[in-house]
Amino acid sequence: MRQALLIVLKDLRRRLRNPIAVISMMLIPITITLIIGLVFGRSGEVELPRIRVLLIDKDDGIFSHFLRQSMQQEQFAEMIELVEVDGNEGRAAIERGEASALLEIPENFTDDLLDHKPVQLGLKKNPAEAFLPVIVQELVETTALMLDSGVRIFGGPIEQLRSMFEGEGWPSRDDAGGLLDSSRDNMILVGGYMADSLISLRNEVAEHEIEEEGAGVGLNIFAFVLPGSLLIGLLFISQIALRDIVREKEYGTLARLFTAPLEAGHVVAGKILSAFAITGLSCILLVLVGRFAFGISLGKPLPLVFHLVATVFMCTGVITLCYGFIRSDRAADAVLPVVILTMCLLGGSMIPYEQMGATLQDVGRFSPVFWAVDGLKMVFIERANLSDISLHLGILYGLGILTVVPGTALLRKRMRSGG
Amino acid sequence: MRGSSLWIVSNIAACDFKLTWKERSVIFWIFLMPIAFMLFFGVSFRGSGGSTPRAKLTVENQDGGFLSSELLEALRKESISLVDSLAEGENPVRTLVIPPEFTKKVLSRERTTLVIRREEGVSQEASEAVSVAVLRSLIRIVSGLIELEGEALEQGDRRFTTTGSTLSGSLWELGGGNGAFMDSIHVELDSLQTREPLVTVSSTMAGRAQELPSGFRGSVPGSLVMFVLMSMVFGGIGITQERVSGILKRLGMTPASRIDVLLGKLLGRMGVAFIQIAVLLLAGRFLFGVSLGSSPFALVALMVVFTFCTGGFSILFGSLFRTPEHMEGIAVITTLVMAALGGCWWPIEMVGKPFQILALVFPTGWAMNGLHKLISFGLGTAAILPHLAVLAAFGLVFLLVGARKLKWTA
Repeated sequence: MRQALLIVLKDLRRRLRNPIAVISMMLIPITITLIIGLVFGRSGEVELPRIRVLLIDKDDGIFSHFLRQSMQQEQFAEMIELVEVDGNEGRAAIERGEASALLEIPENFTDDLLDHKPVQLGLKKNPAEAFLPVIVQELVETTALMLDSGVRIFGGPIEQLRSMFEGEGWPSRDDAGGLLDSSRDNMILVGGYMADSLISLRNEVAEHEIEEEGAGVGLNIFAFVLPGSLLIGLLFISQIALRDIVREKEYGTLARLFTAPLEAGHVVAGKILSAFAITGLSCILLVLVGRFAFGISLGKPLPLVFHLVATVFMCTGVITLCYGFIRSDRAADAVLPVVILTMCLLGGSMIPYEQMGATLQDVGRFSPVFWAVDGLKMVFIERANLSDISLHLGILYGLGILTVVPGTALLRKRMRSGG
Repeated sequence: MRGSSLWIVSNIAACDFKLTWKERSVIFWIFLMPIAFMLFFGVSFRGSGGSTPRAKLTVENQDGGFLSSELLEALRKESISLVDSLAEGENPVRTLVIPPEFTKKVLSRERTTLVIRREEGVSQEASEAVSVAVLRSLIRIVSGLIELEGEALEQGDRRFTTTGSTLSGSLWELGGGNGAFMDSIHVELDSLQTREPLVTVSSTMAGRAQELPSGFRGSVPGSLVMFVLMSMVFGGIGITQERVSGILKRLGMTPASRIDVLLGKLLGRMGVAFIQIAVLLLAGRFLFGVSLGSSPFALVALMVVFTFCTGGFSILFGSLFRTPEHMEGIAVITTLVMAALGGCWWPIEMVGKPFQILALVFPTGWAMNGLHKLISFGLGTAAILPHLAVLAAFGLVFLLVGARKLKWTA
């Protein structure tokens, strides 16, 4: 045991003398978390930029004005930047991708609608944008539906209004009175829904038990992103830390070590323990960066400590087992990043697990990374108790044992045989 | 010919090109990982953007009247999936709760509230789609109902009338609980819902392509640009290794000039990148069904200039470090930053204006924008001339700075 601990101390001293490799790997999760936080904001709610919509109005009538005003109402004005353009200019601009969409109101739009003839609005979308044109389409379709309803409800009074202005001279008092009478009832009927909100629509998130006041309030996007990126960093740090096993053989250091009264088991145990220590220290530093640089609430101490230890144990174990099968540094460089990235991809390190399709989610549960990331999110975001993450802990510690034991045996056997 | 500059350059390029493929891991990094990323990100974001997501909605109907049935009928016409039954143990993702006596309250003109309850963490985009679908269905039902109420008011029955600006009574009171009356309203409302719409929206795409860049159409260009850059940045580590191991010094002792060596290294890397791009584009086309636009010449031109640019960056990156150790982490970070901010990870229109401008500081931003012009818009060479010029300028600057900074001995 003493020999193993001496190897751990020696390796830690070596890493401290030259920490750049480990630090550069620690920078990966920090960079990913920082970029996503900077781009999408701390709350993680995507604030879309104002959507530029070009408008060609060939009608210039009451209903085209209604459409225009609907899209410039208070709630939409902040979202939509409506720019009126002439036909050729607008079409050329959308072809150059200078707006998210181009809305074209056809000639005689108002007249045709008043005659109850079907009309069609043209919407040309920017094909290089995935989201904004869809929002514009939803908005235009909803406005068109409102206009459709409005025309059907107020068709009579509007027709009256048109014939009044089409006649010679000013409309008479009787005409105006008749118009008011005919539209009054409909105004009252519509007013009930518009002003009195007879039917309202409420969106709510399903309630979950929150034991402590303040928990779960105001999602911090860093707390959502860091667990995933942390796992990428920790797995690569474990790889760097355990790399010595193959490198020292290639450099001849191991052969020299074995001239001393030292057993293969001591060397393997020392290497694995030092990898655990280096990965653990890096993990602590990264979590502290998360706490103090990104303001992440770390949840309850006991579940946090147990989960971090389980995560580091799992990372060290998985990489140890991999090195049990890998005989050279070149092979390690070729295989391990692929293994690590595949586990991270499937485990929700790169895309939130919730965003993955059902099939990928099912596959993802077989990745050890999933249990580490999911548990850590529960600790950070939901302030989970030990019992809440017991399944995660069981799987991570179980995986740690199931990988460290055969990995150690394989490495020891290889070292003994000098292979 | 032998001994001429061209011969030397092509020899160095061919040697670097061959040596790259000797590493078996290269196959993983250059071909398999990008394809895995294309697949994974393409599948994960398949429902987003262009095609309105078929968001799932379960309905908890506590009403039982005809208006809730009408509402469900209207919802079926929207682009969402109404979940009729849940498997055992399955939780609803989103639920529309129609309150008790919804029909009676609406017909009586009493206030009522519909609730859309969603599970925490479910797609925000799909939830928005559900809200819009419910809102539109409500507009359809309510406008039909107002038309019927208008007709009822015209009958002048005192159980449902207006006095000044006040409405007294309601359709419910007019019916007085008479089942036949309610049935007639139901039938009339039904027939109003089946009318052809007066106002429709014809939605088309600008350019020649007809699909928005979601799913594979987003993941293929993004992964391509990111992994080509990654290969080239890692290629830069090779230059540092050659300097440390003395290979560059030995090359310097041959009749090959500095420029010959640099051009050879550049061309070797460009060759690798070009093979990588060709394979990834073919995978995008034939594995994932992504259109490659209508101008193969423009696409090839853009990719050649992009490989020149990233090849230049590879040489610059290789010239910046004294030893190859520790460069891997920095190479990964450099690639991640340039890829993320250049728009390879998410649609660039989703980020704020400052980040959209920042994207154009990186070659990745120009490459992604150029690919959108060709693949998404289906445009030709003229549309990407600025992109070609900027990427070439980036490449030239990287190459010149790299050449100036590159030390030949350790």
